Amino acid sequence: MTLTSINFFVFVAAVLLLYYCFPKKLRWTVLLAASYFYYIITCPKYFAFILFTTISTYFGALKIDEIAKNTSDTIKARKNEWSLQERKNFKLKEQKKKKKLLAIILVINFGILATLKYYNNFSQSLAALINKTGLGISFPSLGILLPLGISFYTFQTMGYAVDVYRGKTKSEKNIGKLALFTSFFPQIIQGPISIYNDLAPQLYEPHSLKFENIRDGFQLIIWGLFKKIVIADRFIQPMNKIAELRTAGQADAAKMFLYVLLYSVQLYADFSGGIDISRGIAKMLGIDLAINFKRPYFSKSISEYWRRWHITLGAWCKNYIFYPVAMSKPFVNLGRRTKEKFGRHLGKQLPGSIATIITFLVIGIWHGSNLKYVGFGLWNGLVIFCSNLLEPSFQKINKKLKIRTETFSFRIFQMARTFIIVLVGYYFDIADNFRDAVRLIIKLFTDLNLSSVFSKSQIISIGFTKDELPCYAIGITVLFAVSLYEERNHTTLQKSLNQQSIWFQWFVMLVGIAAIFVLGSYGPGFSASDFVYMQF
Amino acid sequence: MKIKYVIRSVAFVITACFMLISLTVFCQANNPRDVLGMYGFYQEPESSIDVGIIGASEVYSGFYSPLAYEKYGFTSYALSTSAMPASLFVPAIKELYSKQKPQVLVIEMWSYTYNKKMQTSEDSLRKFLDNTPPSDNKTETIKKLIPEDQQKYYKYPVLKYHNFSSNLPNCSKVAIDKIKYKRRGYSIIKNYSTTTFSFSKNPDKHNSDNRAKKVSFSDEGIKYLKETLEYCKNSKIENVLFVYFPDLNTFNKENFAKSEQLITSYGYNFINLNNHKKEIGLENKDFYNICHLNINGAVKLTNYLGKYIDNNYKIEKNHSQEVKKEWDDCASYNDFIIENCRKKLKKNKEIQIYRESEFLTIK
Repeated sequence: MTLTSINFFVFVAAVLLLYYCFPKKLRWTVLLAASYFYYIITCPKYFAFILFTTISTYFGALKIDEIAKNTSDTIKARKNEWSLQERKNFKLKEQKKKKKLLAIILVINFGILATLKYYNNFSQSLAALINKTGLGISFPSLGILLPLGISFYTFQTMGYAVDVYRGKTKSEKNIGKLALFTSFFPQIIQGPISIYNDLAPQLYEPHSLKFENIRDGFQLIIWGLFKKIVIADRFIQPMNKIAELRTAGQADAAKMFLYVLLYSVQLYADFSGGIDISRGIAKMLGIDLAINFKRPYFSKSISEYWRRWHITLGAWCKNYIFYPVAMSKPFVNLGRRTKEKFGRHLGKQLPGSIATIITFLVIGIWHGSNLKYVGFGLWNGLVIFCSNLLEPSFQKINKKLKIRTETFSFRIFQMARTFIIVLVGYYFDIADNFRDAVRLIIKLFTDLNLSSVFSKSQIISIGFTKDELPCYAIGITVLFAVSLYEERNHTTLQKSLNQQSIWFQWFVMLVGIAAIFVLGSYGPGFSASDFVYMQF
Repeated sequence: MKIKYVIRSVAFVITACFMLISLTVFCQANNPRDVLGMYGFYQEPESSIDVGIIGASEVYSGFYSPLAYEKYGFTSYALSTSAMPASLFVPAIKELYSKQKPQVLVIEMWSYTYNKKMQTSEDSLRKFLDNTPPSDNKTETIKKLIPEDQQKYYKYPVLKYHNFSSNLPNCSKVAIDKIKYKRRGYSIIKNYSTTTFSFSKNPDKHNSDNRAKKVSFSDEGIKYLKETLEYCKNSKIENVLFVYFPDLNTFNKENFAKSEQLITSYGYNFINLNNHKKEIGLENKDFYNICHLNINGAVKLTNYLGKYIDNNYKIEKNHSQEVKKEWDDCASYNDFIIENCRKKLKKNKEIQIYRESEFLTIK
């Protein structure tokens, strides 16, 4: 039951009906039942994993909270008996208990994720390495696939556990409510990854039926379906054609560049389209899920790109990896020593930049077990690392060359530069492995003949026909126009649309529905593609 | 939620449904000729057709119903689509009898020579199935002939045809003609279409597709012929005429003799018009390819077959005033249409004419 199937929308309609018909206090139970129903229907064999994560996190967080409460109660009670040092020691001892418990929760749950995601690949690589010495070793492979949404719900739930540890939130006493937070069905497939304090109150609070929620949710769903069915699923066709040619050894640098360009559109439309559908469904239930994309291809730097692309993953990694690493004692000491030796700028930037590389390595590994994803993470991390460290030098160059950085043309240059860097990163995505990625990137710079990328013969060779071209053109044009409008006006099209007259709103929505109906890639002859991030 | 929002939402949903239904109807132009031919059948007043003709393209290119009405007074309609396989004959007969009560059923037999692949080719099946309205007959046919995983695309043709952006001109033309038929209540040309081409004296001089073949009955063909005969017998359809329309192929005489035996054993009539070409007055130049007649051939064949039907079957030609008015109107265009087609035929540009506007305009 994928997000774009008829069955799924029938299911959503049923959930909406039940939700608003149920007594207010029990509405959250409808969401829990629906989420578990969806999970069991879609992924019955691996239901035990999400159940385990929920239960282990529930009891672990409860215990952490209990320790924290006991600590503060005990210190209060013994305030007059104990000295400051004794109180500090006690606090430290209890803190260690909490840390240990948190570590257990994290190790177990991330361990499950790591095992399921990386064991097979790791064991094969290890065996290959060992077998180079002549030993004939093979490790048994895990014959199971990844449970639905494991990367998303593990990160989300572990974020909750860390927040409880940090005292940012109280542990949830009701296991059902925590189960709902872990498994909420619109976001289980591909996020967004939510912060407990942002999402949980909305999940548990009973929402009244509001016209605006239904309308806004419906608009988001239409927009999401347009991106997924009209653009993403259509772009898969020529990409598959190029992949076939590549397998046959007939894909030159120009074709691969074209592939990466198509991929950049397809990936964005697929992922952001799916997120919009998820957000639309949640909105209809009165719940605002976090925005996960903010027109990333308009970014002027890679740092900005990662604040606009898969925003919630970036935010999660910033909160739970980057800051703990960058603020850790070793890194603070490193910063101090670097500042003493190499000056203020380097002292400030170096620890953060190294923490950035570590964070992006994790982001890379999150995407997959293949070494190429490590390359992907490293590429992004290194670009940010270099740009942070070299910022003063760039400023000097701009000043010397009298480049006016506030001009429109310079902003275009920055966007183009960032887009090219992003495209290079995508080569890691599309390659078979790390070596293949490096080879493709080298070929990009040595063998690419730009004039042949969009030549007529090239376009025809990958399956574009005269009949299909208008569909591609309409999809791209609409996506670009909407993105440009939102970028320039610092608003969303939805907000602007809902300020217009009702007839105009209807007109736009009906055109959207008609476009999905007419231009959508569904039916015989089209093979609907799974959402790209469903594999995580 | 306020009442006004409920009303707005309901109104929006209704508007969207209406729009989608209109788009569904609009987009379904897999083969505009067949779409219009089938649509025209469903516009005919109920129980107004005296002679129903089932078959493939030989029928709609070879028999011109308004001419038969003008000459012999009986109404007829060719419920035929391009390459209609014999596997669809029983469903087509059911469809015919669901709206009409023809006194004579004519079955053109060329489709019984199709091999297994042609009997179940998606293209041929769709030209008929996609243009029939939902019914038990359609559902049963889909279940019987279509693989299970493909059935939903036949039950909901929109899944196949929604992407009509490349087919916009055809869809638009079909939509315009459908509206005309709907408003008028009938089509003037009754599923007739022709191609403006005339064979030279020696058909073998043309491309391989147009060279005469030796044709015989396939096993599948025999199977479907038996099915048709059984159905007609069990449904107590008395007047059934099995006919081979004339073409330029050669035939396996023994094989065909067997089929004739089978038909007559059920008490039905059979005629192979290839044996009557002289009487009909047909020459090679009356064909536009190996198996299809041009306007000249169609006029000759309609005159002959119409006379044969009229002489051999007692057809009661009592029609209501409304039906008479309709058919008189259609017949009033006969001379013009035939003359117009002949003029276009002289140019010999091999253009298929199937729209009323093309028959009625001189270009």
